[in-house]
Amino acid sequence: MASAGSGDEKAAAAAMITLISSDNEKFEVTEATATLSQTIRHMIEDGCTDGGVPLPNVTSKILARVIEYCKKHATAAAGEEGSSSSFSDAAFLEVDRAFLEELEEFDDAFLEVDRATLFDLILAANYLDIKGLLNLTCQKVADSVKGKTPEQIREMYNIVNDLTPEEEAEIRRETQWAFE
Amino acid sequence: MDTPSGKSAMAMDETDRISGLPDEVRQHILSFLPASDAVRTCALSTRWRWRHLWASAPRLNIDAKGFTSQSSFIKFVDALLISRGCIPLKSFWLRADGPDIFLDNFRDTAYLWICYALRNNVEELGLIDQWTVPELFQLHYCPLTSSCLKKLYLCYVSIDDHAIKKLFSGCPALEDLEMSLVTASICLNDAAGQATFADGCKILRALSNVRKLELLIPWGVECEYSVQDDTHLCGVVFANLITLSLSDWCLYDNCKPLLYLLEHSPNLEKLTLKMTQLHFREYLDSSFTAAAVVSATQFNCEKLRNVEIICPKGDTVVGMLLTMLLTKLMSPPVITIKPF
Repeated sequence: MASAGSGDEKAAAAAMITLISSDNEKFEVTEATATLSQTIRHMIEDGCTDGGVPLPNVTSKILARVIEYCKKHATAAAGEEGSSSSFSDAAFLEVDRAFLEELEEFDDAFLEVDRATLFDLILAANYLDIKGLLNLTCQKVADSVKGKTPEQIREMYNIVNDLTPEEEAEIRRETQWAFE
Repeated sequence: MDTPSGKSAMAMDETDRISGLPDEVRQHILSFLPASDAVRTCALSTRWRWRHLWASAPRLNIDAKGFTSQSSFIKFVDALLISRGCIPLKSFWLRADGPDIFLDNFRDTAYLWICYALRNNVEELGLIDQWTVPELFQLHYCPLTSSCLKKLYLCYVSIDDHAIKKLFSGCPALEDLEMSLVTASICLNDAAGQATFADGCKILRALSNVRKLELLIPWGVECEYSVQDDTHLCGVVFANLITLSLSDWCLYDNCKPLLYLLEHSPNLEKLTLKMTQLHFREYLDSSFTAAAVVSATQFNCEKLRNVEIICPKGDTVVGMLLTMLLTKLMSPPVITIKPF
């Protein structure tokens, strides 16, 4: 948002950013894709992306998935802002609706991953500060535990119950109102 | 530090990833759960009990779904808020969609819950009653005063224009207000049960500073439009209005409300029109003619880029609407039609 930024930003519209995964794989992405991550956006604003952005917390496997998500959603964001076709273009109406549906389908398909990958994606989304991806993945976990008892959740996520029977009884007593 | 010794190899293979997530991420997950589910996670293990993870989550979704009686729901929410204590809140949602749980039956208690949220600096407040209740939740007497509240979402609650005015003076930070109403709310149903277009406009007047406005009246305006109340409209300009959603009540009397809003919202960028099922608005289709299109002035909504029309399939009103928008607007926006 700094005053000097606007001219540079336009020039950089097609600029490419190099992201480097923890296992040293390099990914070239457009700035529009990269800036879905607030973390990277701030780096770009601070001018410290020359020579690539090292992401020591993200493996190449996960980074590839995250980029896939960002690419898709960056196109969606660009489509919303940049569309100037007239209403009379019936094809445009169709395309617009189809695209929203496609985006939803993309998100659904994107979440078809094993649990380990899901948690890696959550951590990456949190680290890179990609709000949409964090919401999408956290919602998926939340949906999976909704309406379940603590026993069912423990079994589902291999949570070891390290509470002593006394502690457990105490918790149940304190929050009895939530277990009725 | 102590490793679980008694557990089998399975626990070693499949590690407990969820408990290893940072606190703020686990809180984020909890924020997508109904409060009752979120609280119960404290019984999972010490990591979930520690520092009462659920209680420090900044979002609370209180949902009456699953509660079998009103008294058990009230008992639960009271205990929940007491246990949670004075921890700052970002968002607070109260949904009374359980069977036989009607907010207006325990209005004062519900007011206390809302005040709890406001006292803890809530930024987003959502109140959703049911649309089939005998008495809508009346918000008129609730002291809605807060310097933090930015978004207010009201659905099927009743609030009068006096309360709305108080709301705007009492909540200076308010940016977004979304209201989905039935006829009985927001003075679209006065003492005699007569909702008029002018009544709708009185609300709009109270809302003249709003940036995003959704005013839906799913059941439609029930009675005749009264011309003499046009004066209510004079001089109200929605200078801050950017996003506007309206249901088909705005087509009343040859689109008078819609045209008025377009004419007086110089900064409008996005307009959504949500049509109800055809049989809900027989009153309307008969009164809606091409006459609206012919009459004079053009509007200069130069910032209006997107218009979205959500309508039932085969809705004939839409063609008329399109013609009208294109004739009236100097720079035609992108118009998207979404049939259902």
